[in-house]
Amino acid sequence: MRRLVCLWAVAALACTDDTAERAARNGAARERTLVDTLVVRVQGGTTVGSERVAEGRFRVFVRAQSLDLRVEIEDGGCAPRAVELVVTHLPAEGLQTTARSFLAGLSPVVSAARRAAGGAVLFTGDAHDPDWTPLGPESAFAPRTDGRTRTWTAVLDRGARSARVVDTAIADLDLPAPPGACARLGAERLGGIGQAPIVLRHRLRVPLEGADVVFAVWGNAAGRAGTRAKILEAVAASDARFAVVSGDLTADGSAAQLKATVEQIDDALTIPWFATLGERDLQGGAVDDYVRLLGASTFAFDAGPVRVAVLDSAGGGLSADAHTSLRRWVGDQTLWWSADAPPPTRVVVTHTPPFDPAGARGAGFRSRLEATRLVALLQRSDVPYLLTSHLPIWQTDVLAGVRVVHAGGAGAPLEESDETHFWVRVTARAGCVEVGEVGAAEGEACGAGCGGGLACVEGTCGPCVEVERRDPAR
Amino acid sequence: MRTLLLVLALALGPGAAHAIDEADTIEDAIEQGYTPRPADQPAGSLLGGVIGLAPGFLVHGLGHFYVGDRAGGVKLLVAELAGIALLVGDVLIGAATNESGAWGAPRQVLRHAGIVLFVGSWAADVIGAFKGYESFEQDTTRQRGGDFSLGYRYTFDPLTPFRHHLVMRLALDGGWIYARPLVDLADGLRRYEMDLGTRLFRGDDPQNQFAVGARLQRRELAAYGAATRGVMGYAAVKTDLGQALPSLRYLYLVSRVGVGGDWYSFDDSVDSTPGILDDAAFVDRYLLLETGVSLNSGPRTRLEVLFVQDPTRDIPAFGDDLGLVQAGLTHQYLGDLNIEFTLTAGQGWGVWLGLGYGL
Repeated sequence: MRRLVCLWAVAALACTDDTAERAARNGAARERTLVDTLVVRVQGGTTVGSERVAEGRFRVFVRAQSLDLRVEIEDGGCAPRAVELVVTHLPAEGLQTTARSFLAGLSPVVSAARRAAGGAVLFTGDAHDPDWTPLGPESAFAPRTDGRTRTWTAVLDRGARSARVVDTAIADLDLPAPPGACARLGAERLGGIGQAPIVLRHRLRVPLEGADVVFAVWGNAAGRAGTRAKILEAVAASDARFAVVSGDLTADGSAAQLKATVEQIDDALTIPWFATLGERDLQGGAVDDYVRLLGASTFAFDAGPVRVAVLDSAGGGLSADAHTSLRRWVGDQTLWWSADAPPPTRVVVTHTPPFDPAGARGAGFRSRLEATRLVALLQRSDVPYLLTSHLPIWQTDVLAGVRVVHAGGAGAPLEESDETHFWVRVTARAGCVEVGEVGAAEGEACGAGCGGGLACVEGTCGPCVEVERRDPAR
Repeated sequence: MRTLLLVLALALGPGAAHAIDEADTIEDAIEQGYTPRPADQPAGSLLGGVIGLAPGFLVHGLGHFYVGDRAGGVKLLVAELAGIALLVGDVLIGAATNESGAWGAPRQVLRHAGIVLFVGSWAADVIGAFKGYESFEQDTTRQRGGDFSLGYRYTFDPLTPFRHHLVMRLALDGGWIYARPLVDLADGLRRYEMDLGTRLFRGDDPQNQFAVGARLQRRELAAYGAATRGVMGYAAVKTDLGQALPSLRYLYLVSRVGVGGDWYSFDDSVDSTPGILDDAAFVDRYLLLETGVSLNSGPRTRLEVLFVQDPTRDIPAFGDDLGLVQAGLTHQYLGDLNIEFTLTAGQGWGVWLGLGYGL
């Protein structure tokens, strides 16, 4: 149907790609400005809504899209303010929640000392943002819990140089009165730092260091609720720590169908789940509502030994932003503020494969040049797996050393009529050795250590990432 | 209406004053040597073209019916229905085979042919009804000799950095055989191409021809640290549509179908490309489908409009792999000097401006 619609528009050159528009929506959802001087930023999740509760009091809704969610509130105003954060789709157990406050600046004394030391010694500052002044150590806090939803209230008072998490719900909170005229706060007393915004950073994570991480991936359910129910049952009974849905959640892209799908998955799974879009999901009103229900359609997160990058290729290719982000994600950079080293291995999940193994069918990326660009980046970055779900087959192709798994078996009719539907179990091994390191080869005893791209599994070196097909019971 | 137009034509034509003075009826004018338009060659009509454009989009051939060419109208209607049938067939096969890859190529052909028949029959109705039986200029493109073109090409695809190209083309034509090397140089992308073919059939009008050939291509994508080398075999046809629809005399159908493969190699860093003999990491197979029309809009000006499905192009296709639209204009300026202009549109777009010189 989309092809016939586009046919009508070809002559008018009106059939444009909305990939860039979705990228803009994704970007806009990572940062939410509540008022001019009050901003909420999220990494490992997406802001999906906000509301003003009262003067100086706001509520922000966040959809977690990782097992390591970071929320940063920056307040450059002078009156005390409160932000209640409501975060959904977090793990029900094992969550560590910490917060730390900063002034987003350095005092003149510290700045001068740094200059004098010529950068040889780093005075104060945060390890990740050395130009910030921590106001205290990272401290645990206890959000209110309701299943997979966490709620807490942050109170920021720049005048008092205070930003903290409180136990009280925002409606019951007593905020201190604002200090008179909101001029330069203590500029004479504090120097330039008096102008610095105050920042409260929160981190909600499941520590996964030192352990294998297993997660589930499926895609191309195409609205088949019955098949999806079987897959959800199988995933819920498995040892998966989280799930990634790689597109085509709906059959026709309607907002109602997307909402029903989200509800079905929410009801069936207690583990966190994240999703991107497929071409079917773009056909209807779901494309206008996906951020609220799923979060951003392109995102990445670290989970123990693996970094998972999920890319929106529903339009037959990636956006320019996605290409830029992917270059960072498959590199050696940390995702955001973090003292943790990046994981040693990567897995990329997207809906459309760069190249169609059937060639002439043309079900890969719309542009072979763009497909080449993606494969070249993954090859140079030693990414072992690219999981896709556009094609209703189970097949693995090796493109320049990258294993492209075609796993679109979660509901849409399969190419082979005698096949059964399936999901994919991915295991990322702890102790994965960075590519390039010298050591024992695959299949050999671990001995002094495995070589790059391998991990020691029960005494033998094996791949860092294993992908298995799982068929739910009929 | 036609009588009125005839009267006006007689009034404005040479000797009309004398004819009008002396002829009271058309029969009288015929006796005096006037040769009217044959009954089976109706004149063009602006209203006929408009009818072909608007209600004619739904029922192709209406314009021809209006101007009195019933046979042409029927042919166009049949072509429209055939086009729709092919498109429906594509969808039905896809549903019946669960989008199987084995049916990918046949479905591409059905889809391409369906689009061409649908859009082509509609356009033919509009053009033919508006123009009538007056033919276009005959295409006198020479079939022998050589032509060298040098040009600048600009392409825009927001996802690739390749913008400014220097393109050099050579066309060596020996009548039955031809060779067309091409070099396309851009920052981060170089393309070398050799098209070799032979014309297996040429009609009385040498523009009616059937050829087979092979296109060899190497692309060096230094921007990505990759390179491809590929070969495509193809069959191409050019034929005068006036043989089927007299109102389109000297409007040529051009079409090419090819099957090819590109072998991809990758280097470990960008800004370098694998050697031409380096092992390939994988091969990608594709189908090329190109159909369009070529006509001389003037004695020295040729216009070509193509619907292209070629995945090796550097401009991504419309929508869901619907292809590109390419319009080219060649004007013979001075003797053997040509000015060439081509516009290509898809998700991105490209413009080529070149000068050609006949060797």
